[in-house]
Amino acid sequence: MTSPGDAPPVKPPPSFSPGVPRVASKARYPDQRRDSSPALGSTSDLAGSRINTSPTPPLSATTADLPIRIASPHARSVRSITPQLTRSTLGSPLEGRFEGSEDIRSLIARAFSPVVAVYASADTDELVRQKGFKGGFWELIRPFGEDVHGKVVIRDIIGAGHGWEDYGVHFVDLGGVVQNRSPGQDSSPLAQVEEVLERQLNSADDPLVGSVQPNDVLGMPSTSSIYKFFLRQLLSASPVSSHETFRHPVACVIAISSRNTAPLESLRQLYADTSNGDKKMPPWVHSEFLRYYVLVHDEDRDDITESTKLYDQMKRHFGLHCHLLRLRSNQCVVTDDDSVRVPECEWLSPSEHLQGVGQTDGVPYLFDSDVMAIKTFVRELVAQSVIPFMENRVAVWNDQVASRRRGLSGRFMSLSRRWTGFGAGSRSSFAGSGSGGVSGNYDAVHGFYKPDTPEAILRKLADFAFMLRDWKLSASTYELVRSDYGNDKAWRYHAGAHEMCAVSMLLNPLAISGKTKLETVDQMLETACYSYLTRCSDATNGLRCLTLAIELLKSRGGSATESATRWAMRAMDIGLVGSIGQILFSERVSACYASKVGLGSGVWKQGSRRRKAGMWSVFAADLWLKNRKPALASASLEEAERLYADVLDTDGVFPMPEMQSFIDNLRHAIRVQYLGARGLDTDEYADDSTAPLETQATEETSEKLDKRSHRRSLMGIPNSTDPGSLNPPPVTRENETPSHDDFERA
Amino acid sequence: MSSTTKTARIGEELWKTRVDKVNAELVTLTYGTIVAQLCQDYDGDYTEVNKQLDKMGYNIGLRLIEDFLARSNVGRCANFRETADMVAKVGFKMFLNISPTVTNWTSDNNQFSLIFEENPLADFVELPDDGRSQDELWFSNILCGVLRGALEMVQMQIDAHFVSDILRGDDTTEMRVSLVRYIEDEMPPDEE
Amino acid sequence: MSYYFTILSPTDAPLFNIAFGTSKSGGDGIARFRFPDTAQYMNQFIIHSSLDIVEEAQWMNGNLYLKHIDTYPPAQAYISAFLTPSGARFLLLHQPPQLPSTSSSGGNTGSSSLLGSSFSASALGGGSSGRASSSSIAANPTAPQTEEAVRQFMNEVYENYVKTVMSPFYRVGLEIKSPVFRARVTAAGKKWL
Repeated sequence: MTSPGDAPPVKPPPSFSPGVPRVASKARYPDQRRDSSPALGSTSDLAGSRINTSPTPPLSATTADLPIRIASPHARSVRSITPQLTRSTLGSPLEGRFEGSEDIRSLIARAFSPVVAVYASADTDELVRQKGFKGGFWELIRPFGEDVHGKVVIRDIIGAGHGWEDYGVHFVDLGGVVQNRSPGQDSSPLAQVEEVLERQLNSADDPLVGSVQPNDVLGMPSTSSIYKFFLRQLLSASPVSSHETFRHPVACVIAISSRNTAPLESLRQLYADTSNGDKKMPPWVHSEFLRYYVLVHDEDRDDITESTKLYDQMKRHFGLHCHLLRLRSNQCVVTDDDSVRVPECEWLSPSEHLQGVGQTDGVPYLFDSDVMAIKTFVRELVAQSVIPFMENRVAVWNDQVASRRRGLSGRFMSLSRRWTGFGAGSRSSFAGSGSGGVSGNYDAVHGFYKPDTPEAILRKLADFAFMLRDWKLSASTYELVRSDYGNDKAWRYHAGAHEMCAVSMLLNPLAISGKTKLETVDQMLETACYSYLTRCSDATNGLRCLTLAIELLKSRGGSATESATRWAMRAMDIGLVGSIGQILFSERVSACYASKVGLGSGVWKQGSRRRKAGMWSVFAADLWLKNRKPALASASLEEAERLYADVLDTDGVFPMPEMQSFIDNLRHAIRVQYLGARGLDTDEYADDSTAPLETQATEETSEKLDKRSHRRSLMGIPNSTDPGSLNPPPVTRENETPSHDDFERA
Repeated sequence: MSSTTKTARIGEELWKTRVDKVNAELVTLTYGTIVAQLCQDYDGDYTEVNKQLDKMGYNIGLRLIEDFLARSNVGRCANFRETADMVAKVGFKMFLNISPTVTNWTSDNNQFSLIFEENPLADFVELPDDGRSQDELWFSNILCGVLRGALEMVQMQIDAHFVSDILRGDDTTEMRVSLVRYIEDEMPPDEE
Repeated sequence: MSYYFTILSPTDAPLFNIAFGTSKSGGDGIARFRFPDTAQYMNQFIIHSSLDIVEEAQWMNGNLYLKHIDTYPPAQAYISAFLTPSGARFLLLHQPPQLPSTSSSGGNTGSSSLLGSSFSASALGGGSSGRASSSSIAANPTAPQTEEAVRQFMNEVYENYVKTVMSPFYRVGLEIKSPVFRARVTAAGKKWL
């Protein structure tokens, strides 16, 4: 007899050895899966076009009711071929796993693009309005800034160039920055994000079309477009703030048109406005930003020679940062030969979404020549002015402020900052640095550092480096200042520096290897969250921080994905996300787990997290259903089945009875709700599929009349088509039942 | 009394010196599997299972007695009491390494009980919880057959059956053995 | 502390389930999970999902008892695992009692009940505030005492499991229905947990 003590170590369990009979689950629940095959035909369009991937005839009685055939034994064998085939026939771009995560990284990098303010003279806006852009010059050029045409080369601090295909800038209305917030801001940004999501989902309710395409079947860690949408919303939700400079303008485009009667005076006036007039920046914004002068020439009405002459004059007065932009003032319509659709703005903030900025009523068309001109202008602006300017500032600040701190004497000084009365003489470069570790630069009343204090400059340096994607420099710079903020009790700065330090480290493609670094990152995130949420009650930035952490950790793969899931659960748990956000995060947790691939292959695969991924997909499906989004629920459930396919027995049946019945009920409820939502005659489907469920329930109970009472109580529920059989909290069930009865009666 | 201890000593001695040992779990599992298989084959008709076990035992007993006599080299028993002692102290000892208690003699010395303190055949066994096996199945019924077969070969027709079993939830496991008659030489053993 | 104990066959088929509560420090031995009673499937989902970790952890060391291997933070469900040499898995889900404060908030926000509500505010602040009874073994799932208690429990169940599967009437791979075994597991639970 073997006693626990002297057992041989690590035997492979028989499940891994061939020839072990795997009959158990099949034998135990033979009748469980035969509900509702009649509904099959209509369920297949639940999953949209890709249901075509499954073989046409029902594979077997046991799997016929699955909207998802992938879990069936036959589908398993063909799975590796069929979906790919279909993908290529659908012509969808086959994005590999790696590109999938790069996609998110790129999205995050682009979210932190430099901000270029736009300030146009009245005559310029007038000209553009004629073209059909009510918002004026800013609205016209805004979409083009988000994706700078061609590769943009940026030099890092040691002078090595990197080319970026996806670089962009955010054009903002100068007035918007100055007023800090658009007037429509009455609810918190997070509530706005949730509201926008809600709207987006409702507007795209038909799952077969629309921008909300649920998770891809094949592309493993692919991100649903609704989640990307959420991510973009969240990343553009934070208002302009003193603690980070990402939204402070790096440059300001000052534009006049060829219609202007006194062009040079206008330009001077506009410049003056940006410096100290009514368009003056808030006191915490560094006033040294680049001014870029644009002359908009009206091709249809004005003389180019005049404009060229004026442009030369501008160059003489203002230097190199000038551009002559030749636009036609006539409105372009679709029917014009060379009409080009204006790209949509990718980075609208939630409040802009709510104000309906995205939905331009018609006329998003421009002449091809205009598009070319704007693209050239943007490229020139970014590649020849904005980036060199930023590179220059980074070099200067790094030299003047950061390297002193980094050097030996700097460390000495930062030490001396902590212990008073030590090295006081050498601190002269830090104006007013006080004693006891408090620099005295922090204006605790108004809550910001003046832009010329070292703390503010270091932050700006780090942010610039970050926006220039020199994440190594940004990480080290954030690291340099983060404790200073803590000493000054500048908690929002403190949180931001920790957040961005972690984010920089995660974005840097080289850094971080090994567990210790990961722990450092986790620690910084922890600190950032604590400062944001507990010390500043800043839920928006708190969620942003967690979401960035989740995505970047996920993109790192390996054990970092575990971290990612922890943060995601944390975000859900402390209620940072609304009801839709909960679902998206559940899907995200699933995606994180799914992206953790095991070593080895086949049944020997170790370290994968398929079951966990599947579980979270099931939860997401359940939540979608409760939010009355059956199509999305179906997609999630399908994803779950796909994930579970690897770990379940060949017949796709869950070994655990309550899991199986939960999934069966969920599937059924999704189908019912889906058909109901489409206004189909659900009577027969509902009836047909209920009946087997009921018999199944009685069979089950009579068969297992033993001590498993908790099981019976669950099985007893599906005696109606009530989605309450999914065991939602009682509240929801009450809400759902009436509507359900409605279409039963219909 | 002294003859009883002497018998016991013979049993001990035989067990130590003359018997090849085999792993107890193997026997237990083998026997258990046979019983479980019978229960399945006869579709839960435990009365029939009891009968089959008894028959199998009978056939074993017919052979086993030769082995027993050859190894033990014991002489003829003078009376049924001595036979009972021999069965309990030497027979069971030799083959199962147990010595059930002989007790509950009737006044005519023709009936006694074997109380099994331990029963290697029933180790680990839990009867199926179908509500009937507890009342109908005699799990170790093969022992009755063995006894009947073996004693028949030495001219004793007996009846043996269990009256209680720990497996059924009883306090003891008890087999009742009754002498029916001594068989005269002219009667060949009848096959059942 | 509430417990949900499952034995899974090497092919993940459940052989035995039992839910019970702590009997230590005045517990009445009745399980009170954070999910509504109808949502007991959550326990199975959580346990099932922890098999991912079990499969990874079983190669890491040669012990039968793998200790606490997995956590499901939304419901503060902790999983301890024990492997038999033949590949059966003993999984114990333990869940500390819900604090009064969180239970009331959990009741109000019914929508989040699926995910359970766990961290509460105290989780952010280091999680020290709310656990009045954290000194007792049962209340702290990752304490060494708990690990030891669970180990004892697992060993005792294992001994009984070996005996049970030796019964000729037990078919390998099928559910263990023996009331004797159930009683013994219950007793082991009372004794150790």
